[in-house]
Amino acid sequence: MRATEHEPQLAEPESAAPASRHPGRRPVRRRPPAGLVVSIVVLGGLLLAALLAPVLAPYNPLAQNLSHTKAPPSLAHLLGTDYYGRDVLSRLIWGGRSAYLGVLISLAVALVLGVPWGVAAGYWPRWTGAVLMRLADTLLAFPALVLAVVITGVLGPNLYTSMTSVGVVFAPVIARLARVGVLEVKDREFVLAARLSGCTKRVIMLRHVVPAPLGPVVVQATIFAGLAFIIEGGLSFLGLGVQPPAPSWGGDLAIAYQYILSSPGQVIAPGVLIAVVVLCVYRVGDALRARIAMPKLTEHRPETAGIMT
Amino acid sequence: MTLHADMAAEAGPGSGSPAAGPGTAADQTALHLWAGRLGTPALRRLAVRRVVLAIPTVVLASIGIFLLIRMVPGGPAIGILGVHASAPAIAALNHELGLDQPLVTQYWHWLTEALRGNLGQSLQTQEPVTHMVAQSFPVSAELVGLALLFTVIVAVPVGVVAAQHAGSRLDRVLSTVSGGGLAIPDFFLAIILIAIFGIAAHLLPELGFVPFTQDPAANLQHMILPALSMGLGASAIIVRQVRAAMADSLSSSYVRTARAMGLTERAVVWRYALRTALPTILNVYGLVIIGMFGATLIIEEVFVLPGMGNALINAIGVRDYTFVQGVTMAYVALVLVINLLVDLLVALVSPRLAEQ
Repeated sequence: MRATEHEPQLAEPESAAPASRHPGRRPVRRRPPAGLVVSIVVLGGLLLAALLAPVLAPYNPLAQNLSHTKAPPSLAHLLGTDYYGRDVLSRLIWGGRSAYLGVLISLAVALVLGVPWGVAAGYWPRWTGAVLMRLADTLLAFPALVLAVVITGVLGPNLYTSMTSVGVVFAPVIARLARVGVLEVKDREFVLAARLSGCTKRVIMLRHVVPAPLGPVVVQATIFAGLAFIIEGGLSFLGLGVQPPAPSWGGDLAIAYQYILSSPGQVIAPGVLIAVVVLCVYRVGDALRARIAMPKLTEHRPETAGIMT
Repeated sequence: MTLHADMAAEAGPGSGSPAAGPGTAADQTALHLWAGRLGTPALRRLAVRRVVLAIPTVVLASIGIFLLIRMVPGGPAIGILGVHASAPAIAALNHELGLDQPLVTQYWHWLTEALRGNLGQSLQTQEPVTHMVAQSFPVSAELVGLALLFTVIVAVPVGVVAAQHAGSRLDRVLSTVSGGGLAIPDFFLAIILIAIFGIAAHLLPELGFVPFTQDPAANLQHMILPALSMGLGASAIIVRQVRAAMADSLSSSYVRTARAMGLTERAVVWRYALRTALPTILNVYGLVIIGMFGATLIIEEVFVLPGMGNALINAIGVRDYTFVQGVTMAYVALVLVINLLVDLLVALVSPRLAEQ
């Protein structure tokens, strides 16, 4: 793996020093940083809350109570009620379902499309690769959000179409990363050795070639996960994602924004929630990146990827 | 070769302004040096190659968009008229839109017209799409331009300072703040800004648009908040990238040499280190600009600005497919032009890259 060239420098300060001091023992593992633990707990907790929404949510997220609208936070309604008298907390818990599901859809589409795309382009770089990469260039010639919005508009706006199109937009980036990784290993000695020893094409592909770019791809996927939360919110905000009255973080923010003059506090909960989730995803992504030790060239990717919004 | 003339104009603010503070005389020579490279064969070859390479991308993208629009469930006519439309009405509309002709004929017709600058007629307003694009694009461009200006004035210097003090407490604070900035969705940032500056403080108009030609001051007032909501988010990206690129170049041996020769720190940082970091920064700016044009879709909706992004969202809402098709191609053209300009600018400031 090409990552090994960089690994010594990155790994040294943490693991090498204690290992040399106690040569016989396994190196003492440092406790993970508090920020990382908090992030994982927040993300896991919100996912759990979303999964357990029918049990956890104190109210029906769609039930309106027009005599009790725009109520401030109270014991009965921990985050208050919205313009239609619906319980904000319950809506956010249920909205988590579409947020997580949407992100899952977009990542699944991006990986299922992007990895084989890039692996094929890297393994057969001549014609197949040239054609496939031209295709990737073409998709990357659209501003990401424009393409996602247009595909969604054509297929009809809902959570599935919108997040599938987001996945399609992510895929060429994944494909490029996968291609680079495959290009680097496909002529290495261990692949040649596998070929000489009579491994079938399938074994060579799955055991030796495909795993090569997975590190960078996984790191990129965590960045896309954060981005997908933002885009899911944005598309629902625009009315292209989850359709109201179904609860969604972006859609609820849009409703709150409509009534910002009469009750400005309503925008805080959904907006902050999206920001916190994205922050946690990025924190986890950073930790992953440090572990997987991205090669120098792609080291700066995380921030550039954020540009896609 | 009009491109080269454009670039001379671009090269001025892009390259001059970050370095403009200290030692303008040296920057003048740098500018002359770059200006001298404008006509070099290497750069011309690069420009030609990039344009030629862009052609298949445009063709593929146009085919993709063309087919995509025809993938509307049941066809665009049903999309427009609704599922309960009568068969004759659908046939009539299909005929009117030319959808009853073979796909290849349709595409050829659309492509030849598009090359002549005719992107068809809007289904909704019956106006030429080209005309609508020409009207809405300046609004988006102004928005993106102001947001960019903000990042150049604020984010680039902040990134440089962070790199100068890499590892310090200031650097860590800036890194945390920019990390938070990455996580805040721009539409939420926009709403916060509206709540603070528009609704609570009454400092700026929260919504709406005034054409620049009508009242420049009012136009700028209306543009400040939208530009700020895009510029702040982009700044988070740019601060990090500039910091990384500058930290790289500040740790290089020629910077050590420059210091050893007794140059002032300001000259070392702004004149030597920044110049090597410039190709990276320019590439980041290319991505940021494209991302900003994407972000206009949401920001223009939040602030009710009559830009191209808002027009696209509206067109999708009313199923104005010819407009969607035309505007999307306009976006593709825009992205390719931005990429071309960035490539040429990079080649200009770093001839080594141009030779490759």
